[in-house]
Amino acid sequence: MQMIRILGMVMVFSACAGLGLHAAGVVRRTVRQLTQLKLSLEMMQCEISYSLTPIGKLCGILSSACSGEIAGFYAAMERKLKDATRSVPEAAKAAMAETAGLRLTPLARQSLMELFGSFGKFGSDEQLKLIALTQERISAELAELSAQKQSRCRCYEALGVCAGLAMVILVI
Amino acid sequence: MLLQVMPMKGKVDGILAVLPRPLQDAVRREFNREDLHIEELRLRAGAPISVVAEGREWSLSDTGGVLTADAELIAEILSRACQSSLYAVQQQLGQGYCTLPGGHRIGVCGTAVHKPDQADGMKEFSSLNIRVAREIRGAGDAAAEKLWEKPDSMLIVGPPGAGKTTVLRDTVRQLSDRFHWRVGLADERGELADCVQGVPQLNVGKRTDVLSGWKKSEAILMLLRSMNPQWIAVDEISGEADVQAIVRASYCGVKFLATAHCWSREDLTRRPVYRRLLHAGVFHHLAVIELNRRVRCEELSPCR
Repeated sequence: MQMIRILGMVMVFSACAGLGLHAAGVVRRTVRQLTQLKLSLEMMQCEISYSLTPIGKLCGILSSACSGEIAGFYAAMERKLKDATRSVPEAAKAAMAETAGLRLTPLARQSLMELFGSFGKFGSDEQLKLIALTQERISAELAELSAQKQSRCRCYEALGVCAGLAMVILVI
Repeated sequence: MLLQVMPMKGKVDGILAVLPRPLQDAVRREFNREDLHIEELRLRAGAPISVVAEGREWSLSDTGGVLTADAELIAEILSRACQSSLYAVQQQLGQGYCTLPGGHRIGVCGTAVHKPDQADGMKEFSSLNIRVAREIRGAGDAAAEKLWEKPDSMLIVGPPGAGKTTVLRDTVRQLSDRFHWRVGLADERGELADCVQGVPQLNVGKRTDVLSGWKKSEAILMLLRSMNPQWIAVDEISGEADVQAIVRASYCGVKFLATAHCWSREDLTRRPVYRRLLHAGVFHHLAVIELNRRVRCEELSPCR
């Protein structure tokens, strides 16, 4: 009986601590993905300003150059755009829904959708301005999140551990 | 020498891919007709969609009646043609066209967007003219035979839609593959070779170097400087700059194969730009494509 109680307490503690660690992991992943996204937007600017690469091919290039979920997002978008009946916003929306593990902040998602919502409707100068605007918004989001990253991660981890301990004490 | 240019079914997948479904089916039916070769597909906002073949134009219809174009349809086709990236064809659109895979050309009408220090753009598209590219083996036989007999610069003339580009492309192929000459091809609009990732999609010969997207006047001098061609081929000489570049390059010993919008030798001498070209004595052969699509080659003496 005593053994089962100890085992239960260990499990409750692990679950709570795990939740805290998971929340901290999400923050770290979001920062990593926003960094990748920012880099991909820089690359997008270079490709358009030098080669005027159309969106389908551009997504292919970005998926090769990026890594992780951001690469997956661009690869999914490239696949969706192969269907000529699909518009760029539709392709972006579908790719975002399809990419598992994409942990962008709501503002970053909104910025990205706004970019793809008007993608390819203007000349190169206007297109580059739109990308720069999105990049600016993503950078601001990234800077804010990076500044809070350490404290938020530590907070989530501590909260998880403390919640676990509290539950154990309550059970005892 | 006479040659009957036979119509042939072109690679039309590039055209069908940019058309929305109901229109795609109707156009495919027209392309599949054995009795004639479709040359153009025309869309005008608020008017019936029409096809052009052998000088006739008729409205396109399906089970629901005559198909009509609107501004939305035109914008959608254009968006598909530029792969949802208007910026990628911005420069071409500023000149009133964009090119499809397969070398087909879409002529575009709309409202101009003028911007200081930038290429002009276009908005509110009102008409499209999708011209079907033709690759006809043997179309350049008459011209090529003449050039093999006496290798000198040749000017190919004919009315719009007569097949000047088709004859030029096949002649370039024959100069390159059959007679083993090095040819530099100035393909400003991407209609002659249709290079995709640097590989010509239309057969212009194994010994042909293609410069795509450059202005003809610039491309001629670049080819001359960098590729050491024996022949330079250009489509649609139209401006003073083109003529100047041709004359300048001809002093270096390179021979030219070019096309011009003219009906005949008399028409050629009437136009100031071409008259200057004739005065310079660059071209020694004239290939005239007649309305019945026959190619007639004749000697061209310098104008006095």
